Amino acid sequence: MGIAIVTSVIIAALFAPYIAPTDPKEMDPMNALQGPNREHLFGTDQFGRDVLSRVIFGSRISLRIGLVVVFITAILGGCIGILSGYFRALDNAIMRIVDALMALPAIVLALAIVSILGPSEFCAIIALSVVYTPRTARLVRGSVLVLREKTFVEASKAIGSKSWRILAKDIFPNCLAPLIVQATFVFGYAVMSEAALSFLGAGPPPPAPSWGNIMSEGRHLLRSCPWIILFPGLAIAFTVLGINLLGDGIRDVTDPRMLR
Amino acid sequence: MLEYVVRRFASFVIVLLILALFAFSLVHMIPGDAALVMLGEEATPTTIEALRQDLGLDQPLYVQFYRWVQGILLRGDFGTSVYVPRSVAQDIAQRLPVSFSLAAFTVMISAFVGVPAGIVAAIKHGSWVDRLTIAATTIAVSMPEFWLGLMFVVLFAVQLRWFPSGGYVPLSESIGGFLRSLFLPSLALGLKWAALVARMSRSSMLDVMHEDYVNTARAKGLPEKVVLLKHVLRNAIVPIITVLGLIFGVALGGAIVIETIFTLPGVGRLLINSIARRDFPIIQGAILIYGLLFCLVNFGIDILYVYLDPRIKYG
Repeated sequence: MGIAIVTSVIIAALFAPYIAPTDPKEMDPMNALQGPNREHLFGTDQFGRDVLSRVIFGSRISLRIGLVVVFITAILGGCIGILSGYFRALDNAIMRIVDALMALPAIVLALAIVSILGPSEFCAIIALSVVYTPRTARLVRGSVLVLREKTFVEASKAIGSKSWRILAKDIFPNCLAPLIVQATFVFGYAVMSEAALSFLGAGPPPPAPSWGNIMSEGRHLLRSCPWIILFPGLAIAFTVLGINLLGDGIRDVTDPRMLR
Repeated sequence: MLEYVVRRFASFVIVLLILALFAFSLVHMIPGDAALVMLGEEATPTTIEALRQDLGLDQPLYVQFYRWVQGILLRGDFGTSVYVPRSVAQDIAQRLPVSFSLAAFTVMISAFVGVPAGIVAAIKHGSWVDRLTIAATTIAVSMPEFWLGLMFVVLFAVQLRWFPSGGYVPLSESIGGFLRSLFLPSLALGLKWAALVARMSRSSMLDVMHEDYVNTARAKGLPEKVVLLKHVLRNAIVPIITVLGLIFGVALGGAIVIETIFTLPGVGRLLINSIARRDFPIIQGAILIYGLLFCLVNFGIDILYVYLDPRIKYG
């Protein structure tokens, strides 16, 4: 079921220009602040923009950011984790830095980074990657630590394989499964964090229709026009739900221990 | 065990140091001149130069760092805010109780809602209660907490008018007001984490329930209730407590958004405003405090963990 949801969101994102009934940036002040009606399924915001279109286009931004962050995190975190787990000498130093980075709550760290670099989509990606790479690295390192004690690695060493060969052939393929599971969850976190960042004004600047942006713009009208906030939030929840279900599904498949 | 504590403490200090370095270097990582960025583009060269001297930016880096740390450790002085002539330390200290209370209530809600839910789900493993709990938690975890907060405001504050939609009432003014003003925010934040706690409690309980010694206890003829309370719960509780501690730390961070929505004068809001205004002394101080608190909490959990489960002795 998770796959179904995520696929639909992805399709929506990719085909956004065709599905969205109106140009999300097009303003129609005469129709401003309408509740959901037949012409505008999700209503309009204070500039008369169709909320439905904005939400659909927003999916592009959020997914784009999420995917890039996951990509960076998986690769970077994976490498760091593997190196750290295998080579004891590097481990201590790397782990201290990782600990330090994890010492700050995710949003705080992300905000700090964005405060240096300025609010933009690119900086949000960098900030979120910095936030989630340590966690991934930790996880991968854990796997590696367990793996390197296993007999088949010892066997490899006994026949004289060089380190990098062991890494590539034995350790890496076995780390993949937890890494992929973690990657899907990072995707979910990234989407949510990006929304939070945008909401706080630290993400892609308006008029970009990031879900968080839509919500922050609609905040002042909360009492009278709750739909501006309701729908993007639902979109986020829906997407993240799909991602989480997907992650759960992958985990169930790859981890036969989980009989619950 | 003492050795473990000492080792943990050493790590704690090292991490703090790296954090301090990071927080400090924020000012210097800005592309461009820090003082110029802080004052904006219309500032005159004299003002910029004055600010640079004031912040000590004209000194070599390590001198600056040393002075900053020295100021903090010796005098508790985090510097002065660039915008308002108030001490950063004072600003933060004023707002800390708010964020703290919010985090505390969040943890409480997570605990009181999540733990029983998780335990019940584990006991009735496989039944509809169990499945419902899993479904509910999965959904709850996927919801962005600030959206939940906003929805709560719409529902409870606007429509039903049961709770205020924002603002904070200090404990000293009125207990009722205090509780009321913090209820919705903690609920918004707490429900989501409660789902996590419930999940964790459930798996922890399930793990323990299948252990051999539980079977032995049952075989001995002990009534189910005693088995549950004395053996299962006691062992399952350890990871649960760990998670709760972690949630406190995370709640401090996640509270940032909630504080903004409910206009609570906490450290989170201070941080956001400072970031918008590029008020770096405050940003640095706040980050350091957050990091410190988080590390402290983790450190406390580590110690607690060893205390509760003497088998853990990793270094």
